[in-house]
Amino acid sequence: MAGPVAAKILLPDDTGNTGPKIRTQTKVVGADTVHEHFFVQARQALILGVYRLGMAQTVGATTAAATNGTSTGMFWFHVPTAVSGKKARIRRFDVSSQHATLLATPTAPRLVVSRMTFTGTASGATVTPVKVDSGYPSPVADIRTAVTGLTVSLVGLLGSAPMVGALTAVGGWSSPINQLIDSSSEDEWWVIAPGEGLAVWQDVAGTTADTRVNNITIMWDEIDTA
Amino acid sequence: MAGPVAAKINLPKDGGNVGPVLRTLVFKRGANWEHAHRFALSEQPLELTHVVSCLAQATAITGPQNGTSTGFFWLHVPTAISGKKIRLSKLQVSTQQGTTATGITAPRIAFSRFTFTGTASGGAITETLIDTANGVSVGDIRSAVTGLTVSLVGVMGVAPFGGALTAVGAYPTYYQHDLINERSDDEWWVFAPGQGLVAWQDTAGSATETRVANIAVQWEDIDTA
Repeated sequence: MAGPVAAKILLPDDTGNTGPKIRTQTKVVGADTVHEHFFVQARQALILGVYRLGMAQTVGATTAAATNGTSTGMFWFHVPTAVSGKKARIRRFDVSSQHATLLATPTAPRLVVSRMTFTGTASGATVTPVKVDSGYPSPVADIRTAVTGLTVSLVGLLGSAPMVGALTAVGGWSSPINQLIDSSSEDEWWVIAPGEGLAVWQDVAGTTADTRVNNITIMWDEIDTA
Repeated sequence: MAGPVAAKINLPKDGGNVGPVLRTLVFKRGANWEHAHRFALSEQPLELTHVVSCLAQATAITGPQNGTSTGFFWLHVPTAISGKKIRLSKLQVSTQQGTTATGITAPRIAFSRFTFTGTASGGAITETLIDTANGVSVGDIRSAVTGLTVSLVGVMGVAPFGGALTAVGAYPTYYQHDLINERSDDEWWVFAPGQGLVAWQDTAGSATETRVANIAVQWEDIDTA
């Protein structure tokens, strides 16, 4: 296929028009003053609000034993079954981990995020997210640090974040970030409908008396699907 | 639903037109030369100014801060402002070891939305316009909360410090955390008059704490009148 070629389209004379005005900018190209349109990015979905939450380190504490995501885990993000006409879309999920004490940690625990379905109504401890713009309505997504009230069925893993480690309790460490999702393309975002959710849990055992901590940030939007 | 199908629209002949000239690119597809429009990117709100503030190194402390009376900085829009908001489009944090002191704790910087009453009188941090032709921002950054009575709303993001279990060897390349995706302006953090963002250390550090954080924040003022 041939490459693109600079071109132009001649429009009818508009000097007598009195209707809507289209915003453009002009450039002089050769003998012509040519117009270029302006483009404002629009999302395909109707967005109702955008929300964020930076979790307390206690939520992301590493455990010596693995958890299972259905009865034990770090937190459960879900859209209650009573919600209709709305879905949540996870746009960003960041995890970083740190050493918290002078402890050798020669194990390879990781945080995993599973898609889940559920029945029941959550009654465990809640975590309140923050609106990116205070004008947004309260979110329909519901975040719990205990799974009480929900019967969870894991669907599969969406991503994992390995934790820092120390073969011996010596030397410096950094806190690399794991971005399980960080995209501006809305067709890549994780869509959560009513009756669905995410379970965040540790699927590999840590070290005895493990003291490593995870810092978790989650961001999502909610869209009108009515 | 069926997938998209390559298509074209045939316009009337333009050879006799004498009006505005629309700039395009043409692509040869099959037997046709097809025009594609050129676009200039724009944003939905009317932008008034763009500001960057690269703050002095913030040193981690032993005891945690609370964000209301202790913290690293408070960025806010004074209540006297009307018809404008600010939108944060970039927030970056990296950390370093400051001395040979060990760092065997897990402090982190939390960024919390807040509301406030009062008028700030603490130490002002000077922001930098990315284009000197722009106007001065309504965003106000203070290194002390004096004059403001702050109510925290919630944590919007966190950035951990690195550390050293023992004072041996080189520390790993310091780590940079981008808390905001600057490609998606519908994710930017919006602050109206009476609202703000505080950076504070919500987890205790070590007894002798010398780790430092490098923080840069970028925002724009928008017209909401």
